[in-house]
Amino acid sequence: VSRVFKVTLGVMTAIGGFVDIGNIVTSGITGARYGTSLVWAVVLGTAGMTLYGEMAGRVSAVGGRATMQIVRERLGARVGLISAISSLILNLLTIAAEIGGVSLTLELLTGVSYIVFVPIVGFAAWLTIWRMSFSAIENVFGVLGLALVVFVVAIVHLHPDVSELWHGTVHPFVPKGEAHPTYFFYAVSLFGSCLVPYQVLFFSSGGREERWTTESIGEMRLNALVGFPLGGLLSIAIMVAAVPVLEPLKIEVSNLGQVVLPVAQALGFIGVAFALFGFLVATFAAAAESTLANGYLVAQYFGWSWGKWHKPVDAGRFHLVCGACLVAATGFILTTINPITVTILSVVLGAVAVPITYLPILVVANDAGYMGRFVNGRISNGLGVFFLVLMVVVSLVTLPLLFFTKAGQ
Amino acid sequence: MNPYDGNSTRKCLRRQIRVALAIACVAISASGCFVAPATSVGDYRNKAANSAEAMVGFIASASRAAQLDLQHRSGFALTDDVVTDAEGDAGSVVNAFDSRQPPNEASSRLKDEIDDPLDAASSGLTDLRIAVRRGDVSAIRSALVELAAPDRKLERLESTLS
Repeated sequence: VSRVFKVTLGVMTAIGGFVDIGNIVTSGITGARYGTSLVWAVVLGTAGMTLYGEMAGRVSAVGGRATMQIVRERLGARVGLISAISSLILNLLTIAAEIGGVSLTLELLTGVSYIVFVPIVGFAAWLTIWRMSFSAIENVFGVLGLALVVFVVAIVHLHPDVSELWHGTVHPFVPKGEAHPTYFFYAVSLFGSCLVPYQVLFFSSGGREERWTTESIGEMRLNALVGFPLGGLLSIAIMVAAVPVLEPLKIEVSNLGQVVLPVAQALGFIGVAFALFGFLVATFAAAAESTLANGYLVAQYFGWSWGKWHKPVDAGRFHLVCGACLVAATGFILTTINPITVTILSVVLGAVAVPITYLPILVVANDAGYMGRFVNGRISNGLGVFFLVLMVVVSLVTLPLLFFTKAGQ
Repeated sequence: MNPYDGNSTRKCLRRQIRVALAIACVAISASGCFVAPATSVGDYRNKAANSAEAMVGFIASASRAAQLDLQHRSGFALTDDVVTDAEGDAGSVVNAFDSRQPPNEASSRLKDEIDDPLDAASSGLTDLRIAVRRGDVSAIRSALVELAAPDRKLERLESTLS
């Protein structure tokens, strides 16, 4: 029974932990603007995340090492440094976006300006990382993040035209009056929001925190292959809920509160409370996880002692990096830069940087000498190469799209 | 093998990379930083249509949030946030459109035609925000009625111009 409970908990954690501020914002914007015609981008992004998450988890379980340790060992210090620096900067932007997201949610709950909450949220994230155990961070927030299922319930209550939603999903089109570059800019944003590098770093380092071995691979696979896709469905639910309420009114989402309006219409005050609670938990968990991911990657690169299984005094530099990242990200949001703009930038730049993070995972998962009988099979390799090529294409077109469309305007 | 050949090739390669980076920086700056002025009649017309469309969206967003509040389906903080943001965005759209120079007489007439509903919508959103913050239900209803007229005009203008 305890094993079933553990597996269920792992899957639920993966579902609830998949969604962060990037998914919430980009899904809300695109649902209101393009209906379901960009669902394919979430499906592709989630499939890529699932594939590479499973690969990173397998590498971690077989090698007994996390992603960045293996990157440095197998690809050398220089390539490792490029990967580490790009992921570090991107994660910093993500931490800032998540802290902004938590603060904006608190503003929606209390009516007090988000800026007041920014330092409090930064401190709370540091305290969580300092005091809570790894499994508590992962499980408590992951499971509570399931409050976002309220968007699925809202869709049922809104009685949308299912055939129209399905048609938009399977026959994607650029709506009349919308420019193609803007459509693809948002496709790239959705793709990037699903494939954020911190998730794979956190997942593989989490494998070490939980002492995965080759015997844990089945459980890990279940978490990745079931949990991540179901998490992707939550993203799609946020998008679909916007379609019957916001799209007909031509409401362009530029505010976190607008994403909640469909739930308010469908379920009233209770629904709003669930949705905001879900936002709060999902973004706070992502703030803690992306901060930990930065601590992991720096410590793993330099070979320092790392992980939550150590007492803070025994992994001082790891905790110092986490604290410094939180201070930097909190300071960045305190400049009063719009957190929604930071979120869009983080997911778009994430799309630029993904190949640098994901290529080493594919290379190592393919190394028969390292992986033994757990080396990538033909299907994993084929799909891995397909997604890597896709990531490279996306990373090449992202910056031109960002500038050409003036960030999707 | 002459070692100088390798050095000169590397130097040449570095120079080419520097030139490519400089070109990329200029191209990125050029594409991202300039706000194109409305230089042609068609361009001005597009800006007018876009402003009308954006304002219709702001009115819809604020109105829907206020209606849900009146039905006790959402909280004060959520309504206030959505309405305040719509008001701020509406002000930006009015300012941005006002800063455009109409290129000819016909465009000036178009500006006169669209200015009134844009200003009325912006002012209506301010009234709605004040009413929401005061929790004054009848003032919220009045502000919603006040917003209906500019909303209709802007929708009509947008469909005519697009």
